[in-house]
Amino acid sequence: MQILIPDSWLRDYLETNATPKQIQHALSLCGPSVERLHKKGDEYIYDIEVTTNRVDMMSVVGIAFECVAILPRFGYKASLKKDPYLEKVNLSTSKKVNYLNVTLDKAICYRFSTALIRDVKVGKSPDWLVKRLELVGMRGLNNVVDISNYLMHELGQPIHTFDYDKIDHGRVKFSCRRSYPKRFALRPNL
Amino acid sequence: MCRSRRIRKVAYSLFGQIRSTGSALNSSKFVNHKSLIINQDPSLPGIRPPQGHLHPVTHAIGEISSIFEKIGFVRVRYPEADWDWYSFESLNMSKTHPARDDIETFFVDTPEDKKMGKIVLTPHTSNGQVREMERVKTPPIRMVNIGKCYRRQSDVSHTVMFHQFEGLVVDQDITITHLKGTIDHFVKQFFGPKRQSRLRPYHFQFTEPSFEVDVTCDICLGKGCKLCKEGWLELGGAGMVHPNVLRAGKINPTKYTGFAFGWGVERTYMMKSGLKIDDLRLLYGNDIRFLNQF
Repeated sequence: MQILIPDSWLRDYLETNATPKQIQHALSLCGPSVERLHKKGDEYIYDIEVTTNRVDMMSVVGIAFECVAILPRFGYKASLKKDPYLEKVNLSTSKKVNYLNVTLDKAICYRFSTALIRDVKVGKSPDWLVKRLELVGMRGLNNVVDISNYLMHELGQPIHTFDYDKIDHGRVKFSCRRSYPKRFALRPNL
Repeated sequence: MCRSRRIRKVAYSLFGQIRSTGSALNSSKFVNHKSLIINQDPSLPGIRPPQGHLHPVTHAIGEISSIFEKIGFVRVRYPEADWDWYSFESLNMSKTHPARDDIETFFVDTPEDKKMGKIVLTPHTSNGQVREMERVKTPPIRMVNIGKCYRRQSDVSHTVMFHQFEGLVVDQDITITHLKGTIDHFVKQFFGPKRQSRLRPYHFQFTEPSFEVDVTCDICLGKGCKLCKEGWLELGGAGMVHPNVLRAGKINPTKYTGFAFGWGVERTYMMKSGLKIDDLRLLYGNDIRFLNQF
């Protein structure tokens, strides 16, 4: 699997004195193979091949973690500026919510989390966000879609965004479609 | 002057030359009238009938085979059309693994076996691994399996059919150092004493840990040049045999360990001579003029 990681985005998470070429060299020897180093204007972009056993590296944060582990072995300084798994968020959580009724098939999905955002106005994303998406080969569509694409690329966390008004009686059910014998499709019944 | 007049002029002058040469020879004292077949030396060798030429892949297989033979490996042959079980499932690849898609692998239209699955044209010589474990039963195993592989990909650098050579060593206390040592030995024997090898992390379902093997470029010897960019060229994959594969071969993974590697014959041979072929499919084009160059 290929992923594009812009150097500036990587350095949102990674503090290091290594240059892009040095990062490419070190990573390729000890971690994921940086097949190419693209340059778009001032920006360097790592073109990385991630093997199927290390899907944790299919994100900016994933590569940042690899760099923190690998770069010091080559004599460079490397540390995390921020760890998304340790950041405290000021939100209350609970096992049940009154705005959504969820049924899960535990064989295919054992954890489901949701957040409700009210008074959303669908529109264009800010320029910096669109620019970053374009650097990694995606198109800016609208703020709602762009945010889920951005977060997927940055944190490796896939997100689905639904229009709450269109969900039938606030009920969501996850089930496995039997009609595909070779691979199963995961689709929420709304 | 028009064409026909020119031709006639040349023809007449030629006839004249022939006649004068003939009469000069006739008059010469040294001519043997009996053998007036001019300029014939009967002791010259005869005209050779057209001869075939060994295919470069045949050369390569012979060389590779002899290197491993000398360090105690046994060369074996295993089927190209093999059960799904030997090609995939026994190698720790589940039924949903993408290599089992028909986009990648050729499936043969024959009845499916309950345990063994369908018959496939093997995409790698690794199908020989578990077969060899079944043949030898108790380690030590030192196998080299050279055979044809088939993958659904055809372009300038890929042919649908190609050759791979697979090495497998299973014994007590086999470690990565044995893997590195064997690879290094092969590289020095095949490419030359100044060449070096290195391992980089990778992933295969049937090895853990897995590596990609590089060899230094023959032109710059690792410093970097136009041809190789970084100084290293990719050779193939390798790794320590996954315990699930040993179990599939009914070998106890707590008692025995092993390493394996699988590389393309064509690719390895091309790298040796520093040869760059525009289109790899030329190799199987059956043109004698091409093959004669090897």
